[in-house]
Amino acid sequence: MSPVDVTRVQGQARESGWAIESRAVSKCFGGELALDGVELQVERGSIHALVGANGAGKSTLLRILTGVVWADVGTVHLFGELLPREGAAVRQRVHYVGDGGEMFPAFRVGELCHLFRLLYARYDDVRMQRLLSILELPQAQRIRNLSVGMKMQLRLALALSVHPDLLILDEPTSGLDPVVRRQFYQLLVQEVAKGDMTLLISTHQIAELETIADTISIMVAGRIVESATIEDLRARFCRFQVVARQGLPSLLRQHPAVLECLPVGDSTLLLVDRTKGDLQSELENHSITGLAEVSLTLEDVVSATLRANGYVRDGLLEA
Amino acid sequence: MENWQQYHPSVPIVPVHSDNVEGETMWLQVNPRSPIPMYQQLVDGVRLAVAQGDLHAGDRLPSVRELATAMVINHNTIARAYQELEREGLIEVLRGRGTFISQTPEVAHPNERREEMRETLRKLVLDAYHLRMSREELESMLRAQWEQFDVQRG
Repeated sequence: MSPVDVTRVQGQARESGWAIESRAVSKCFGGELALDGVELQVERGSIHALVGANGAGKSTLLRILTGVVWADVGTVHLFGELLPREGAAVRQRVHYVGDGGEMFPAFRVGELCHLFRLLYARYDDVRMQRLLSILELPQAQRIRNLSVGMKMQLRLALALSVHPDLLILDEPTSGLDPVVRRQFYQLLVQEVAKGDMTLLISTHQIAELETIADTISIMVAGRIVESATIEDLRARFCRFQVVARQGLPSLLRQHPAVLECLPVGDSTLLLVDRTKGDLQSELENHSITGLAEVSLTLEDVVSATLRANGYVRDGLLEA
Repeated sequence: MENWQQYHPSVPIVPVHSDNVEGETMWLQVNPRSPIPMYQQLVDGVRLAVAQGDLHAGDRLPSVRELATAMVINHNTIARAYQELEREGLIEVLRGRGTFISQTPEVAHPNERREEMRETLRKLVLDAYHLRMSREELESMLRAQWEQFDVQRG
């Protein structure tokens, strides 16, 4: 792909507000449905978190967005343009960083930079050199001698140096210590704040996303079951602690807004979806002696959404 | 995740006074686990700093991007907080120069914000009811807070 084509693609990119727009994307592997009608919209210049159960299809979706795998059914538009059939063209502006991959173990860091200069039309060496020094990565070191964390930092440095329109990170922070992890997110937040890059992060480290992401999508069994802003999603669910003298009326237990009902001592913990009816005013109409709202973390909310969509695991060895 | 907890985004802000470069240090803090939306926590943080005299008229605030980077918070969250502070007239955005604590002490949108205050009070009274607190108890709590605030302001 020549640099001319990249410019052409970039010129058209201004037309759509969506960085990613997938419509009814499905994918089968050996008769197993990995993706089942995925609808995903990610706004330009935003940070989107993709979370979900293991095996929900997150990685397959990311591979489709990077042009490595093709959807059997459905369409994907990136920056208003249909995903080109030419995977190499996609990768000039969509950069993928996963935690696997060997990255030429015999290469020295400097040699890998040179390879990127040859591969990517937008490679920015001044930037790469700055990042190497900020991240304290040694130029002369061979890749195979780098620690897991250093390899991930090198991947991030390379990713930011090729100025992608869309950066896709798959479980990026698993090998990083807390200090480096903070720096990692700091670099990403700074880059997105400049307004030239959209970021899609897939991770199980949900707490890390709380301050960083604009929007979140939750996947279960090949489908996106929820897609919302972090704030809306957190506002949607809450936990009520209810104390009722004669026990909680079954009418309330079966209220559509009640997702879960857990007795704790003489009170009951209710997990509530506020969009499914006004439980609070109903509770106030009953003989309730105490009512307190307990706030939920983003992780609680994601877990609740997974459970509400049939993803349940119990870790009890003995009953 | 425990580790992440240690890194509640916080940032020292060194306000640059027009005539006093030394300035003071304010700590803006955000707790991502709080039920209060993050942008609102930022708004409250700046309001508190102004009320306590940690920030003065004419002090420059960091740009959206600077603050987003320093606190590792999404820039849209910061931008939203600044928009709200600007709506309240607490800060002024001067194109090409930066964001400053306003010189004008006049209250912006007083009626609208009084209505919001009434709504907040309504929720407080409801909470007090469910906590089985008496009206006097709530009133004395409010008085104590007001006194503490006066002490902090000096």
